[in-house]
Formats: sequence, C-alpha cells, structure tokens
Amino acid sequence: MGFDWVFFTELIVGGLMSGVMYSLVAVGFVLIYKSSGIFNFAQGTMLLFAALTFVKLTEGSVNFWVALAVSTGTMVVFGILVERFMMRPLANQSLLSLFMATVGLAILIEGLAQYMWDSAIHGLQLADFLDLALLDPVNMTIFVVDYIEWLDILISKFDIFATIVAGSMILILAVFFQKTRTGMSLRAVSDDHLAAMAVGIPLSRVWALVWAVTGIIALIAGLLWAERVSVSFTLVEAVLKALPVILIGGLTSIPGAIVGGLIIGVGEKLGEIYLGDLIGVQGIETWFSYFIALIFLLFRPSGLFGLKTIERV
Amino acid sequence: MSTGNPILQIDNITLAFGGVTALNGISFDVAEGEICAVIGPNGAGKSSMLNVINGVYVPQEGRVVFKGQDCTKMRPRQIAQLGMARTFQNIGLFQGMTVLENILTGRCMKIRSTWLEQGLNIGRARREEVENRRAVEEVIEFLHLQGIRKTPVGKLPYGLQKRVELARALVAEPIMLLQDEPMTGMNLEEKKDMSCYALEINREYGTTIVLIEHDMSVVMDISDHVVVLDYGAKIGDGTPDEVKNNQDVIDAYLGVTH
Repeated sequence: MGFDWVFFTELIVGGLMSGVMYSLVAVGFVLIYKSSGIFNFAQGTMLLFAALTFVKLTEGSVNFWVALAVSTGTMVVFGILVERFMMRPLANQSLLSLFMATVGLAILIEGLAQYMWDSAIHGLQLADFLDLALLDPVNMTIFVVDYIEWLDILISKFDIFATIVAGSMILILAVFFQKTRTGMSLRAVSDDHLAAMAVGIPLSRVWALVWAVTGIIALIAGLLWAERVSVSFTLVEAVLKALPVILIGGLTSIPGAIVGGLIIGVGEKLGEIYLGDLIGVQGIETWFSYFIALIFLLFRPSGLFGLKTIERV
Repeated sequence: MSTGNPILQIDNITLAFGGVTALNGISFDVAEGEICAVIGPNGAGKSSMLNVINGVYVPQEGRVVFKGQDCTKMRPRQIAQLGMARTFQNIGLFQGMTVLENILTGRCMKIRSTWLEQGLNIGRARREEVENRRAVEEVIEFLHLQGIRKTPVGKLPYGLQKRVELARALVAEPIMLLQDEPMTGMNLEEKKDMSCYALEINREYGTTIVLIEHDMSVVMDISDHVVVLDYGAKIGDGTPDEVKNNQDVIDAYLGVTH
C-alpha cells in the first residue's frame, strides 16, 4: 500500500486550521503576559463567560449582530473594570500577587457566569447564524461539506470560515502590537512599571486596552470553539490546549504564538494518525501536544521566539 | 547658567511610612538652570525626596511646586508631561529591549498620531517617526552610544546601562532632569564621564539637574547648589563651599564624639 498523499494533505490542512484556532487563544495569553509578566489564569473562564453571554442573548431571541455587539461591549467594560479594580491597586507588587489575582478573577467570573446566566450546557450553531450549510454535526470537526477540487480534500465550510476569522484577527493584532506605540509601551510596561510611568507611558490605559482586547479575543475564540465543544465548562479546559502553544512559541511573542499554534495543530493530527498506529495507542491527540512542548522546552527553554532575559548575578 | 528663578519649590515636605519618618519638614528651592545636588549619608531620605518630586510618593504634608504648578498629588506620568525626566538608582531600563528601543520609549510623550496612522505608517506617524529617530540619534551621539544601538541592554556592563538610562531621559527633552545616584557603582573614569555629561547637558540644553549622590567629592565640583539631608531632616543648604564648611554637615559625614 502506497502512502496516501491525499489523506496526508488533508491532515496537514486540518491541522493547520485547528492550529490557527490555538494561535488565537494563545495570543490572548501572550498579550497579558507581555503587558504584566503574568500567566492569565482567568483566560479560560473569560472565554466561557463571553461565549455564554452571547449564547444567552441569542437564546433570548436577540438579533445575531446585536448580540455580538452587546457581548463585545461587555468584554470591553470587563477589561476596563479589571484594570481599575485589579491591576491598578496591584501595580508594582510582586508578580506572584498578580498571578494569584488572576486565579481569583477566574473564580469570580465562573461564579458570575453561573449567577448571571446558568451552568447548563448550551449548543451554539454559529454556522446557522451565518448561513453556512453544515451537513452533519457529528463529523463536522474534520471533514464534510465542501470539496476543494484540485486536491480532492474534504473540508467543512465552517472550519474555513473560522480559520479566516481567527487568522485575520491574529494578523490585525500582530500589526497593531508590532507597529504602534502601544506595542512598544506594552513591552516597556511589563519590564518595569515604575520606569514606564516615569517615561510617561500611560500605564492604566495600556492595561485597560490589553484586557479589553483579550476579552474580545476570548469572545471570538469562544464562539468559534463552541462550535466543536459546546458552551459549557469544557470550554475552560479547551483553553489549556493553548498552554503547549505558548511554551513552544515563547510567552512574549505574537509571531511565536502563531507558529506554535500551527506546530501543535499539525503535530497532534500527525501524531494521532501515524505515531498512534506505530505504537498502537489511540487518543494520542489529547496529550501529544504537551509532549511536543516538552521536547521544545528541552532545547529552547524560553520558546522559539521567546525573550531571553539576561540576569547578572 | 542659573537664572536665579526657582523652577522647583519644595515646601515643608513630610513623608512617613507607617511609623518611620523618611522626610521631616524639608524645604528648599531649585533655581532654573542650576545643577543641584542632594547629598547625605545612607538612609538620609535622598531617594524618598526624589520620589516625592517625581510623583511616585505622595507626601503627608507639604507641597511640591514645579514651574509654578502645584504637582504634589500628580502621578509620575503627569509630571513627566510637565517636562521632568528621571533616572533610577537601580537602573530602570526595559531589560528585554535593545538600547535603541529603550531610548525610543523616552519619546513616547511626543507622539500625537493615532494607532491607525502608526499601524499603516501614514500621515503624522511617518513624520513623527523621522523626528523621533533624529532626536534619538542626536542623544546617542551626545552620549557616545553609537556602537551598541542594537544590543539588548541586559548584556551591557553596569556603567553603560546607566548611560543608556540617561539617554532615555534626555531624549524626552526635559526641562528638569532628576538623577538618582548616577555614579554609584562606577569606577573613577566612569564617574568622571558621568560628571562631564551632567555639565554638558546643563550647559548645552540649559536643563536644570537635580542629582543625588552620597559621595561628596564627586558632586562638589559640578554642583551650583548643594542640599544636605540627614535622618530625614535638612542640615545644610547652599553653595558647595558653604556646605563644606558647615559644622553639622561635617559631623554627619565624619561622626561626632558624644
């Protein structure tokens, strides 16, 4: 039996597409890390909260676009509140305090989500709203619907849509944070709050912006992912998939998050099919990404694009 | 260089942390265009004084007036906008960035263009970029940092890092420059360089400089005005010669037999 090139290509394409989704979530982590030097433990619950807000609005038969606008607004307000009541009082405190604050924030949002909405599992058919015909919800993650003629591959329209949305969002963010003054301020703020303030960088505004943007990323990622895993607490765990991504790419780099996402996306698909066969184990996909991250960590402890901070002793 | 008009007025400042009084009723004026040294033994309250001036600490009592404006309760960013730049005792550089990027951050208050213009590199953003680069290059030349533009600051030796920090403060074109122990930890030659830079900055740009030092010999040569603190109180204030002959100052530095 010869090597099935069509199937292989299909795996690669599928892997790249889910990789873009991982990248989007990873960028959310990277932004917070870049601006405050902490791993945002609340990222997953933010995703859930944003998606849940949207779902409950649409279930209350609010128009799709209105619901999108309202939940976007909610996340922006959320960002401003986090800056005012969490980041500002903790400026110049130890990073551990900040990290613990995000743990607290995660618990708070989780409670808030249940209090405001509920803890039931909600289905979200974003494709229905967007009039993208999905044939069979059961198989939709990998194949279905549409043919790309010249390669004979099967890819669902929704996956293509999700990839385009996530991809363009990442690109806009990358340009924004690489090219503008805000991008530079962001790095300055994470290095030294006090010096940044003395130079005249508007600390509060930078933080509020970062948290609001992260909130919007959480909303978009939440909606796109909910298609696969439904809107429930599994969404929080799904976010953990971004962890190996940022380990590979480096916590401080947006390009790193993109490359890391693609490596993980493709790597876990290939691992599942070929390596799984080889060693006779199934379900490799769930842990293989961590394994890849471990390998990278052995050789590049600060990630592919991560910042190597030099400490003089 | 000094015009005699006070540009900075410190009026009866008292600052306490819990039960510890770091500054106790301190008053002095800094004249426009002078180099004013704040000296004193360790723990005298010098750094606290600087942090009050620059808005990091808000004193319990007293007023700080800069350019005729009461800025006692202003935040560091607002004071920076009034034209005050500073360096830090333990080096406040952005360790992850190169020398060039660090200095560029000093220009952040000069930027008026929106993020959209910056992202697309059009309109005001392009003009500002040219202007910022020009200012940065001028400072780089002034402080002789040409060879290390692209070096991450963390790789530089201590003395050079201090110089980069000075460059970042200068590029903002400040009216007043605060330097917190600019010469600590340096060898004799570096100290000489740093003193020369302070003098040159003062002469060439007319920048008022307030600097903190605890090594008296270094500052006596370059200062127009010396303020001496000890245990949070002011014990001397005048020209270097006056201060040198002040009995309280001599006692504080050499110790007295009780």
